[in-house]
Amino acid sequence: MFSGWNLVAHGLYLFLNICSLEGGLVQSCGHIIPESPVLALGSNFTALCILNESCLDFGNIYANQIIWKTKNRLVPKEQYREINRTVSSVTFNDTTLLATPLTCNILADGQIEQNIYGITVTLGLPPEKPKNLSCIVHQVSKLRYPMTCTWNPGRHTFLDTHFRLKYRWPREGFPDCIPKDVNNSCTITDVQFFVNLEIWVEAANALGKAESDRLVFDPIEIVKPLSPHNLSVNSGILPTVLKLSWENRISAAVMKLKFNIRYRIIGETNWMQVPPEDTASPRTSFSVQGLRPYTEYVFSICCMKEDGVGYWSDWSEEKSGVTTEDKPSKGPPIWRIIDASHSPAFWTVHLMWKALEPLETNGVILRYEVTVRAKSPLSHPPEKYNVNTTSLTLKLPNGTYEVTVIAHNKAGASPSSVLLIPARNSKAPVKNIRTLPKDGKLWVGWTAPNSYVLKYVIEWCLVSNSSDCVIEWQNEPGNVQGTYLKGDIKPFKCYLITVYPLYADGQGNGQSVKAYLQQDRPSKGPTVQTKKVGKAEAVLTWNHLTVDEQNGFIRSYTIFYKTVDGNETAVTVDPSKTEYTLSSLASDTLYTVRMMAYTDEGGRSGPDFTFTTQKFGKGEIEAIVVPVCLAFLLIVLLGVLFCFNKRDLIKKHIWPNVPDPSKSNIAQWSPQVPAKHNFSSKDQMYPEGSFTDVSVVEIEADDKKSFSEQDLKPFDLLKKEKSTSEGHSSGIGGSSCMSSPRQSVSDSDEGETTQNTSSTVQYSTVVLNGYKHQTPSVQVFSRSESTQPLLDSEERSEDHAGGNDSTTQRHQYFKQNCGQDETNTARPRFERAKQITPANEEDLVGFAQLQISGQNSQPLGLGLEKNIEEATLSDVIQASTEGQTVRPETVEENPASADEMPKSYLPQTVRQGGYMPQ
Amino acid sequence: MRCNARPLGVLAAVAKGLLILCTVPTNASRSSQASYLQQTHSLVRHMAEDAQELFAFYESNQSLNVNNICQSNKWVEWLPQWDVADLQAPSALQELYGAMEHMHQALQTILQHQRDLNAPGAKLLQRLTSTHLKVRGLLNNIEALLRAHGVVPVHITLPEKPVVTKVFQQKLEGCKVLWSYSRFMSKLNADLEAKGFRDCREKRRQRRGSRRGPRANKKVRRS
Repeated sequence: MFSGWNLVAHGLYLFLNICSLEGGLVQSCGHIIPESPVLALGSNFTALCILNESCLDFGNIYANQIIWKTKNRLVPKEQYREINRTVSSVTFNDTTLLATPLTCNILADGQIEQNIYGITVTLGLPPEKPKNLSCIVHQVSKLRYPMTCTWNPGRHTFLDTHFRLKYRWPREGFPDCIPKDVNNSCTITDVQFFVNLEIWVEAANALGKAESDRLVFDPIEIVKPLSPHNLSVNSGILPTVLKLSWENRISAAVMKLKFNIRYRIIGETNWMQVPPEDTASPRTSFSVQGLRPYTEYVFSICCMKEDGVGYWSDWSEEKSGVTTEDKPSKGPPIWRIIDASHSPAFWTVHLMWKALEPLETNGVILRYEVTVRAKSPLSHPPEKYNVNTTSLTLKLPNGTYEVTVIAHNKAGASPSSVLLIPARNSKAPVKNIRTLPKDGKLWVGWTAPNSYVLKYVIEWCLVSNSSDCVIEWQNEPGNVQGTYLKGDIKPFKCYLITVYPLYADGQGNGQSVKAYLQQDRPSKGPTVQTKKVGKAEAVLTWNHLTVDEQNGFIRSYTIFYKTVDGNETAVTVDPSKTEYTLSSLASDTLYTVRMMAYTDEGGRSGPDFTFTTQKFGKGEIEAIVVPVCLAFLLIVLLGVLFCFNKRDLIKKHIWPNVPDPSKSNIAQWSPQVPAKHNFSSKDQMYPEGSFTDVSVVEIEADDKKSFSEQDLKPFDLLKKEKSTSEGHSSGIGGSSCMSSPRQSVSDSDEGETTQNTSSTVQYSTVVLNGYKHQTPSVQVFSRSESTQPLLDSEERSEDHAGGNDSTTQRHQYFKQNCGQDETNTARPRFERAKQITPANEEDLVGFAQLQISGQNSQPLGLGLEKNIEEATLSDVIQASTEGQTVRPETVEENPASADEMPKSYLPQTVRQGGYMPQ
Repeated sequence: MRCNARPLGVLAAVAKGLLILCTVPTNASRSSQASYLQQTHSLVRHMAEDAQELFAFYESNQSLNVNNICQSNKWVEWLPQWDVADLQAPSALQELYGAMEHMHQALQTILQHQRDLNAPGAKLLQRLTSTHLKVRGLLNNIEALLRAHGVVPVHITLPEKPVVTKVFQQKLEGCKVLWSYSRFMSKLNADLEAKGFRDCREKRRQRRGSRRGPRANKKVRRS
């Protein structure tokens, strides 16, 4: 029973021991030395875990079972050391790697890990020696002088570090000054002057203490006093003096002061200072001299210890004061504008003078006194004018005058300003006038004339399109050769500046120059347009930019032009020009052109303008048309001349000579009445080979188109000719076969034509030849163009021609070619002509078919070639044999093609003075 | 009258002692001694002004500015009243040192009384504290001067004073001390100023004499 209780008690004891770390209910089984150490970063550290003897007895726990952990990480066993059976140590060579907490644990029964004890390790750095300790005593009132000391606390220690400002007298110490919320400064509420104070800073934390270097000083040496107060400014008797008074807020017994006084003209920003040596002694007032009359000044003052040890006070509040008035220091600058345009005998003189600068007025200008004295030869008494303005307009006789202007204020009158108004400006002018923008102002320079110049007047005005030239001016002394314009000179505006030298006895001519304070790009570019556009050139015109648009001196124009898809070409043009001719342009091309105007600061482009060059140049059309017309006229003329010369020939071609029927001797050669005709005589009359005026129409069959429609035109002509010559037709019916083809060409005139044809006999010969010695493929047509009426004897002879050979042959001919005539041979010619018309139409159809089926007709043509030659020959023979010899082979050689071929007439040769019968 | 003349004599003696210290410096501490003298002189000037202001303020603050009640009182016995012309320098400093120790204690008493009569931070308390600080400062400077001469200041044993329980008596006692103190400091400051001017004049004369001497000798030789 006892042993059982003992076992339970032992177990409970062990449990409580182990649990004691968390609960602290009972004594721990062990502990770590040191307890909650503060360690320097980077140092080495050794901890000991000491087991209680009780644990050895009851728990069988020994030091060799101890394991160390840092933040639950097992410390390598190489760092352990078992000092004895109850003590185990662990060593860390670098505490930087040491994590907290550090725990001591045991392995109960070699496996169960039980925590014995743990400590929290604090890592940090010892304080550094505070550096740069300095102090200043701020006066906050007449009796309170707190001293503030600051220092550099050094590196961060990661620990709670306390700083204390320590100070003491040689025989007495004071409580430390402990900084509040900061670690680098502290304020001692009150210090005592003239007793040396030893002061230093002490920094302390768990790892140690550090002290700054000790300072020993008299606090009076580091005082920053309060600035003087109740500053007042009083004007003195003199207009250039103001007296300052103030109160010091530190006793002279404590500190003798020196002062610094600054002042400025009200409205200006720059301060001036009274020389420090003038205020280096204790005082409560000072008279500032050398001030401008009637000027308001602002003053401020500060102080410090007389010997310069310590700090300057802040500047006091500002106080202002005004000096009293004085006489104007100089006369107002005067100038004039003379207007002699109204009357040459009288001038309108605009006198103008400038209000004096505040520096010069020395008060309030009450009035200006203007005196005008006429110089000889004029003898007017001086005239005085009192004005309140700065200009006066007078009408004076042409002459020389001396104008004097005096400004008055309360204190007195200014020196007089004198201007000589001469009759003319004939003196030497300045030379080489030039301008230069500089420091935001416009500087004007010139070369002085050789003569002595009293002063110069620089006159300028803003050149603008929108406003008149309002003249501004200024005076400069005669010894200068350049000055800045004292006016509101605006940038990008053109100014016309004129410099006049004034001599003792007159004034010189003014020399002018234009200038800009600052240039810019033009506000717009020139608007270009074409004045004239040609084939390869275009004349461009533009207007100069106005002065307001220029914004600077136009240095050049650049014309850019391009085609729709071409590169842009630039041409630089002199700025004085307003016209330029673009050359080498492509004809009939759209060009886009724009123009830029350049100043020194750049250019700006005007709007685009497009134009199209012309297709033809100037005179080109005329050069083409005129020669063509001339050539045409020449050709016509030549043709007319030719026709005129060849009129007989043409006439014979067009209007062949028709033998006078009354002179006809056809009866003489009619074969039917050989007896009645003298054959021999006729033969003699027309000997063989003596034909004259034979109309021969040669139709050369070139190819299968030989009988094209155009080729039929002559037939039409003939038809027309026939129509026109209808009245003259003899009405011989033997030639009416010719009219049949024409009818088919002109259907509308069919009836009439047929009728006309039937009543007309044309005498002609149609010879169809091959083109260029080629064999024609058609039959030869021939007809008589004679309108000679047939005689009754002839009619009769034909009627009776049946038994005659020649008649038979001829009849056969007509039979072959005018097939239907066969049955109507006994009819009169007119009737036959009518009757054969259809046959002729068929023949024409065949003719047309011949034209269309040229290829088929070719063999036929070839076959006909010989026949034609033979027919021609036979014609000749027939003609030579007076038409009696007819070769029937001519038609018989191609009997099968007779229907296809057009009916032809026998060739007819007409002799001069008569005709050959068919 | 005698009472009034005595402190002036003490002041003159102290001033003389300070000037002697000024004119006869030791080798080692010459510069620091001069500095201490200058500081002490400035401090005395400062304290003299402060003492007058404090007295005036105290008198008005305590409503004692009627019938010169404070000024007609007897001179406090611990402020020296003898002739300063007989004062040796270290002894004069020692005398002054003892007077300031008395003053230090007297101011402590006045402060104690006034703390009962004024709220903390009252202006009178501030002024009394400031003056007390100045007296302590002067004690430090005199000790430093004495030590510079190799003299260890002797701390005097202040006699037990009867406890004044009546407030008016406390005020009046304070007024009497402050008036005597202001008079003492004013006289001391005036003597120091006068002695300082006088000594400076003598120094200039001595310098001139030292410059003229060789020349005069040369002239004599020529003649």
